Amino acid sequence: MIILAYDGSLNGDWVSRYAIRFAAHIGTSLSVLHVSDGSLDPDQLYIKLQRLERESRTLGVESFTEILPLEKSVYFTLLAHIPSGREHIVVCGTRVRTRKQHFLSGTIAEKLLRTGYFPVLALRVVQPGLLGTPRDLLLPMAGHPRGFEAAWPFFRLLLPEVDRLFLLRCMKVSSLRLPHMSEARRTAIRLAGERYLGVVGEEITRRRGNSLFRLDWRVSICDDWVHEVLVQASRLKVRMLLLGATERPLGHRLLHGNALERVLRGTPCDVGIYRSL
Amino acid sequence: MSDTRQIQQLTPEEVYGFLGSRREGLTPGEVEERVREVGRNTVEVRDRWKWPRTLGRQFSNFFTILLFLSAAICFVADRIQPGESMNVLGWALAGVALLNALFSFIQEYRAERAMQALQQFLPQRVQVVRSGSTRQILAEDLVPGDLLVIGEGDRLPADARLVECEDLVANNAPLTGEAKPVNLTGAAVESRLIDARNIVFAGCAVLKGQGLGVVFATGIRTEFGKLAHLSQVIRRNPSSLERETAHMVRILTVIAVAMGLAFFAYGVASGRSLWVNLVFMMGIIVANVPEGLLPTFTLSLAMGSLRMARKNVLVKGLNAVEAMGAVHVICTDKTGTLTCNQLRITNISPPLGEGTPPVAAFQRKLLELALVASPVRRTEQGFSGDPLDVAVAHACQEQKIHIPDVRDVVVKGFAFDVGKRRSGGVFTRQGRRIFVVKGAWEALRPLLSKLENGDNKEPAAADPQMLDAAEAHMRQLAATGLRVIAVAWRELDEGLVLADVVQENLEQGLTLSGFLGIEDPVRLEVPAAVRTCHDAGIEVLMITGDHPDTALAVARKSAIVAEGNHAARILTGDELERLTQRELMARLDEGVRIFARTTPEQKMKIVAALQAMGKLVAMTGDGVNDAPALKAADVGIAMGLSGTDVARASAQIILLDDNFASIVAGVAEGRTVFANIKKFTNYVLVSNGPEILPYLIYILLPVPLALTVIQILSIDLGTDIIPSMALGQEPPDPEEMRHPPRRREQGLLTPSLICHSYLFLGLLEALWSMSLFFMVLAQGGWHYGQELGVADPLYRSATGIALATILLMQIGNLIGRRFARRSGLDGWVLRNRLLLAGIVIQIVFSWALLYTRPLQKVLGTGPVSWQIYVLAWLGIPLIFGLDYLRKRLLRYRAVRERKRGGSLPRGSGGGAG
Repeated sequence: MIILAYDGSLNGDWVSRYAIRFAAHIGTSLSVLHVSDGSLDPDQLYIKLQRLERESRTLGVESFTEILPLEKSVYFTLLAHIPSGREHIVVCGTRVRTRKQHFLSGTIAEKLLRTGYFPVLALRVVQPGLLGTPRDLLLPMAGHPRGFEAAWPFFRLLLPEVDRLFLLRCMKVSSLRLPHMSEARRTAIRLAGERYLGVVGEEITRRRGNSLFRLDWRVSICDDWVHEVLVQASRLKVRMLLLGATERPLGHRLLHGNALERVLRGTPCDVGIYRSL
Repeated sequence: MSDTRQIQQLTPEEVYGFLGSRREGLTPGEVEERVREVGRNTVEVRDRWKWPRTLGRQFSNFFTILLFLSAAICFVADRIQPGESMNVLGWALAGVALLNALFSFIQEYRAERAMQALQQFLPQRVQVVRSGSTRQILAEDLVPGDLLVIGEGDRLPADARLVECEDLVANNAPLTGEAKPVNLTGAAVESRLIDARNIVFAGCAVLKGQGLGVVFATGIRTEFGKLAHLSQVIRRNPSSLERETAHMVRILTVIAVAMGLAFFAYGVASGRSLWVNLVFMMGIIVANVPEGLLPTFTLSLAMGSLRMARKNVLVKGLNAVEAMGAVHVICTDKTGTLTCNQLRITNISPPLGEGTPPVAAFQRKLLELALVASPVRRTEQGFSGDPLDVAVAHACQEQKIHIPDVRDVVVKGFAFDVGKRRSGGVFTRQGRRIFVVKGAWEALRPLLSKLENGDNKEPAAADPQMLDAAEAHMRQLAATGLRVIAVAWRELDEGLVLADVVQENLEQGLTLSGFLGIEDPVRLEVPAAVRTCHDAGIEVLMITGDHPDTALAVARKSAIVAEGNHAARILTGDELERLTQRELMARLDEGVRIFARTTPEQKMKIVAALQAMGKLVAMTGDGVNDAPALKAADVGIAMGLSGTDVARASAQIILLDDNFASIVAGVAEGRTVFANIKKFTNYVLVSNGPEILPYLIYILLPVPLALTVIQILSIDLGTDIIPSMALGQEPPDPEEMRHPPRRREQGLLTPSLICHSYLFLGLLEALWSMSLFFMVLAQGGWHYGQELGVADPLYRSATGIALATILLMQIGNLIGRRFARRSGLDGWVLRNRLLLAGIVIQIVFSWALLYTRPLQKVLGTGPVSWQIYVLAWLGIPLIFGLDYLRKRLLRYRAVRERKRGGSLPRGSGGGAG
């Protein structure tokens, strides 16, 4: 089941379109959870939920809507009502916080991503005209030994409409070293990245089934992976970036800033941030 | 059930629903919420720290740090030995470092013009419907869901889906590179978003008509925004010279500082005073660092850029001068670069092209039909319009067809549609209305039902065999290098109301009238230039939007591929689109050299694949959408005549005459510049040997110091500068374009160059100058271990002859550095005025420092006997002769190896060999 944490906002509407399509693609039902915190006019909410149900019906998706009374907080209310385990995927939106500083930090989406009780996909929609059907995807890989395994539960939600999938392995080197690296060293690093992506590519080929999307990959040697991901997103004209979320210690975040925030702020396309179990 | 429809596939009502909009437009609350979510409609990536960071970077590179360090050394030396004008040298060095940094900063700042040029494609204010009324707002305030009012002459501020449309025609040239207008519709269409005719794109212009569109993408999320985003954020790879210079400076600095510190520690341990050790350490560092080399680099590149400008190659960044010489691949456009961009109809043939040559009546008829679908205007300068349409008009004139007789009876025109690749028109003739289509054969073939045969007989039915025969004829024409356009027609029913009719309904049951073969001749100088590239190991790739057969023919005429070469050398845009980067790399490895039917945005893919193969790529471009590829390439070359401002702003090099041959001239100049840089690096490093050795002897043995810091600086920043510049002015070696480009890992400072400079020539200079130094001392009564004061006349004479000897021996070094294998004595020695000036300066200075009061005072030198001075002159034939002997030995060894079956090793253009 797809569980949509719906806040009734404009971004929530755009995210809901993704959630409906996800449910339609994998032939499951959609559970819409809304925590009534009094920030939305009930009439307006009713209209929005009606539209959501209508769109679900159009795509043959069975949807259930629950309006939950606010308990301790929106997050705890959701937590109390979302079943644990990997069977269900929680979809939510990243919302801009006050003074446009953050899209993820301090949001419900961030808390859900950190929970670790269920798989979560947090979406930032900047191209509502795509209607939740991004056909060209960029999947940056951090070199994790799990390879594609963590991304698969989320990628399969998009699978039926994907035309092109690009894998990107950013091989990070220090900015002092980058301009002076020898050609031999560059080649060695590039080959290491190629080898990793080769393995991931094989795994994708194994899992893709009858899907005919084109798979391509790039290895990039860079000192700033966020910059590189955004450049490649524009360069390849992808419609969505799918990024895995990892826990970074506080010291790292203080030193390097929150990379995901930079991606969300500067993205030229929709972004999905996932965390599997 | 799954719905994967996109915005272009929805009905107008659905568009409103999906984008949360309505006919009355958005409310202020909705606008505010959307601005919060997706930001403002701006393509500029704002970064307030960008310029301070860029400026900081200019001051933090090794090059600048080294110059500032040298300046600091001068200031310290001035404090130690006041009155020797060391502070002037210090200020000069600091000035050079400052100028260099500011110059680089200004260059980067000027690159921002690309953004300014892009901004010109976007309007300041737009009309939208909000809360039920039409109002004018700042384009920056536009959000997804806004209802945009579109009118004739407008520039579009965002990507929008049309919901109402009245005769709208747009020019999508900034995105597609195709200047031909596109007819738009408000209805749902089944095509890719980028090709959809119900979408208007940011940056494009409305040529006529009006309509309403719902905005669905703003800012950098628009197609134009992505271009702008890339133009701002793509970082150009540092040029090989930048990397090699940094590498060289790093190594020299490390050597200098390490030696300085090591001997400082030794001095302290051996009981010398701290102050003496400090002076000594400074001397070692100054002796090791070629202070004048780096400013000479800049001067040499600047002079190279001037020479390139004389060859119609305008260089925007100095590093591009050398980068041109290092390229492995040149990706070039066809039209205007390889060809003259002067379209001329040279072949008019019936569909099957068989039988007797077509009669004049047939040719006239075909041209008249083509003219109906060719909207041209007559201006004072001649015909105006699309070059192909103008070519049709000119051909009509040659056939004595009165243009107004045809154009004035055109009752409806259909502009060229990029997606359909055809244009059309309806005209009346003798009371009949005839619809004419002119376009690519592939676009017309499915619409044909009959074929004419070039005479007045009834057209034949277009069965598959006939169509195949017509296609074979078309391909035959294309294979000769002609761009082939098919012309077809049909008579319209009398009752048909043209105002209501859509083009698709007319485009059926057409009769193919014939083909027009259009030639764009290859520039005369291009084949030779391409062959020069091949000789120089540079691959030339042609990227064009033309038919593969036409592209292959032009490639053959341009010598890009050999006459007998087959189609495996061609890749079409469709194939390219399907290939992964690795597959593309494999195809390039297999020998693909022509990319036909490609779009400008595919250039990026080609550049990325070539760079992943380890190649340095030069890429030409002229359109707005070429900008990212021009920035991503190692050398971006924009067309000066036909290029857009955006392309020119994004490129490093501007080709003033759009001519491919000029690129090759630029490559030759770039190679010469690198070879010359290597020559003067070799030359300058030689004098480091005699500068270092006195300090080593001084610290290890109880002898006087043969060379003071000011004397070293007088060489590095004085007498060596003009000779270095003279070597930078050396003419191109004809051999320079007969060997492959240097390998990426081949540095400027190679081990052989270091050995040759320091351990051979440097040591020779050091030994001869030190010999004369001790000879003067010995003749003056000095004995081993005796200390001499700096004011002692004997010491001044000895140090004077040491310095004079080095200066004179640098003359032999200078002449020898001109060639790697040849002696260096030829007629050009007299024609290179800077070289003569350099020699004269060395001679005059060597004499003046010994025998003139002011220089004696500044440099702390004194006179010697003329016999000793003559001995110093002997250093010139000594260094020149021994170096020539080395060259002869190397040459002999190379010849012997060649005889054994090995190839002649590549000369290093004056380097160590």
